[in-house]
Amino acid sequence: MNLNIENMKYDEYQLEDFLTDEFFIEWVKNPNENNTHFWERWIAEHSEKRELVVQASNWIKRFNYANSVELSDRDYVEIFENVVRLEPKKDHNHIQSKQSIRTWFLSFRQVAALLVFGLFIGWLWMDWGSSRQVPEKMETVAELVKRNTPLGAKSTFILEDGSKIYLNAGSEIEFPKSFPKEERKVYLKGEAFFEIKQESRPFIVSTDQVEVKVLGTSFNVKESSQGRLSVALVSGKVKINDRNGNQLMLEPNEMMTFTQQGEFFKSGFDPLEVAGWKDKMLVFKNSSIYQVKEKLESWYGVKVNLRGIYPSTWAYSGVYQDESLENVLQGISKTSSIQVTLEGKNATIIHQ
Amino acid sequence: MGSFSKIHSLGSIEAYLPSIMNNKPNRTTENLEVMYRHQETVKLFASKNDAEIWAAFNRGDEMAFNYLFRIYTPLLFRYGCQFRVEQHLVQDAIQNLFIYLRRKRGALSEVHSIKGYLFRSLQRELLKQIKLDQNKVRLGDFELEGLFPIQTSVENTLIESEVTEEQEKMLKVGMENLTPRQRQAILLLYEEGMSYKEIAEIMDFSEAKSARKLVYRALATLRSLMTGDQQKK
Repeated sequence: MNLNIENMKYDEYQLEDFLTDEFFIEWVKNPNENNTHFWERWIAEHSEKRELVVQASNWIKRFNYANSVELSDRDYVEIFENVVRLEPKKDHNHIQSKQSIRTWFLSFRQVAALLVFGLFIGWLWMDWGSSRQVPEKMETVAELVKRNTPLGAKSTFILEDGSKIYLNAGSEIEFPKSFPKEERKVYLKGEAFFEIKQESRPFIVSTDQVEVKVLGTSFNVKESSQGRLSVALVSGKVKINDRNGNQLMLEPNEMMTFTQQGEFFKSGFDPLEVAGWKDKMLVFKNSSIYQVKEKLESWYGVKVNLRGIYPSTWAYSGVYQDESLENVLQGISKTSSIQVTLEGKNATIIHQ
Repeated sequence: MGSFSKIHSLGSIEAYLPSIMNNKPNRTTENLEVMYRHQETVKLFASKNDAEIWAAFNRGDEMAFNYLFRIYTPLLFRYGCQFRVEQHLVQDAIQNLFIYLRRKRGALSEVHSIKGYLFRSLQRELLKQIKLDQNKVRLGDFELEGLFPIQTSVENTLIESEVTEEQEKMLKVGMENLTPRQRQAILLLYEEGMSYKEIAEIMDFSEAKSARKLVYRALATLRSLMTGDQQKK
């Protein structure tokens, strides 16, 4: 019924009427299922008004802010930090309420004191109640959240405990929505860099081959396509348990590598080469052409074809921060006697 | 955090590194982190209505605050910049507004349109700041004249091929001849997607009808200008 009346109303609409109709504007600016369904049907039923409707929607779209300034990320964060920092302390309110109480009549003072006392007890009771509820809740929630990144993409996220995870391309990580009270455990396939918030619960990264156990620290875990796994420690301390029952400790700047056969060895590492990816640094250090190919494919999500014969001495070193594939290819070709072509998702590297 | 600077101090890098490493470490990473954390809250609150979100904020829910900040700060900034004041003043006003709101948590009254409420509050805050700055800025410069400039883009009018260059010019002139309040209402309606009720609140009309009338008259003027031109041809 209502819809019919609405329909009739629109029959007599002139340009200005459409232009000032909230439901019509909503459809032009924010089409959704509801308004699209209505207006498409209405236009179909009123083909003679079609031109008018098109005209009206054009008018609506063309009014824009002449000075449409955007807030920079830096200013955004600065405002945010100032707002959070300049928050007055809670006691402030208490002092104010005390002062106002003093001006009350004597009898009111006692009533107020009783009230405050009552509120305090209530608060204690609520606080006690809620603190009792929380652990119960946490025990029942064992739901796992899965994050993965396709080739050519990376992602960063903060866990519930404040720890930060950088997930490299083609990797996957699973973790509970909220950590239980005894430990914080995540399951990793691929490569990730961890910046762990220090707290009493240990943080455990579980992979097919090993379990890495830490308190507060930052480190990189990488499973390579050849089945090698490496754990590189930037700061703090980590304990690694492999599937064969070995327990190993790592110091900062040390990297432990496990082969597919279960052998392991310790080495140093170049932090930029190992962990630069999390800061969008694409790093080649004496990389063979096959390493270059593999890295480009994973970083940009493209297919790299190699043509020609590459001498075993061919190696490339270079660092790129947040560069396009085109620029990286050009950079490589400049210093290492190769030619590159790029067509869509296909790159070809030809050795001359 | 901070790990980038650690990496930097570990040596062996400078040898093949361009100057990028000399940037202040991590400022951008940190910014990204804040932005990212805020972005995450969007998923939590996007399906909730304004009254619920506002109530959560009033309860002291920090996620709700982050969400409000994420969604409305950029919009407030753009809107504030229409008042022909310096950008840093707009930023200060936004900052003060949020500090005030956080301070009042627990005692805030119900809000049904957060955007309308914040826009209105920012406007008040801006005018207050401008008055405080009276000694520095000549207040005479701050008149409504020239505020809320509108740009008419041609991009969207490709279908309407019969729009001539001359008409385009007419429209531009017409736009400049609208009153600042008419332009403000048009922008709030189209660019900000606000309802007449919200517009009325921001522009101090007692009824939503009045806001619609204001826009209606402005557009009628514009149209007569345009069609008048068409008839001449």
